[in-house]
Amino acid sequence: MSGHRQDIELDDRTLIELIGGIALDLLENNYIEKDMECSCRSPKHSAEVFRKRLRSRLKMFSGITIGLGTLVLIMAAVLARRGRVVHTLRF
Amino acid sequence: MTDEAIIELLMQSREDGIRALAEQYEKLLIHIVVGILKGRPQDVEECVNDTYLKFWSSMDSFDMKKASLKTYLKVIARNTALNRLRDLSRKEETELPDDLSEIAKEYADQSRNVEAHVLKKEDFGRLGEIIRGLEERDRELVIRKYFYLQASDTIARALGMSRSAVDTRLSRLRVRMKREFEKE
Repeated sequence: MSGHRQDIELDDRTLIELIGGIALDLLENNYIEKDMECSCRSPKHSAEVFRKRLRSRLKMFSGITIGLGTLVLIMAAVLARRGRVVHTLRF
Repeated sequence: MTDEAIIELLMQSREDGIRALAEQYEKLLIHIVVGILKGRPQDVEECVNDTYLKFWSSMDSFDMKKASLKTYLKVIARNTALNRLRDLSRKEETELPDDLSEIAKEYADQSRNVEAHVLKKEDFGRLGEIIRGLEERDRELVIRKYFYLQASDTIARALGMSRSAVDTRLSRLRVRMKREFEKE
């Protein structure tokens, strides 16, 4: 039996032939169906991905803006305390 | 329509039954056949029609306990498409589509010269056991590559892997399957 198996070279072609005849329950998967769903919803899917990316960029951008604004205010307050920009702040 | 109802209809009238089969499963079968044959609309249509007829003529052996109707049809469609690919590669005047997956090209090329091994029922069973023993992810890789003849790029996209990761993993799996296949 094993002699016969060793005679068989398990190359790509043989694998293709053999896999077509394996127990059917092993082929009850939905891989192809998953692919079909992906290709059907791809435009919507990519729009969603785009929106998500845009939202995260906006969040990052607003975070940076708030951070920079706060920093400027703190610096202005510090400088004002030292009296360096009192004149500027008055007008 | 349920599978039972389709079978019932097929037993009553071939035409109505096949129409019901087509309504339910045509998209899926076209997807499978196109995946193997690519851009040959006439061949794709013929393969899908052959699938219905083959199923109808072998309906006696259909056992819902073993697998669903969908799985039976998937296997018939896939094997019909492979036979067509082999036939096309034998005809010297036929040009095979350029966009065939690498594995389909290899299959078509090899079929010209290589004598097929005599495969026995126990060989199918043995490979089945080996595939059953693989982890789910590896099983998916093997079935996508060798059952659906998908290109490495397609598998990589579907599984969120790089193409080289797919090829490396498949190469390791081939070695493992070969080793286990030859084991007593």
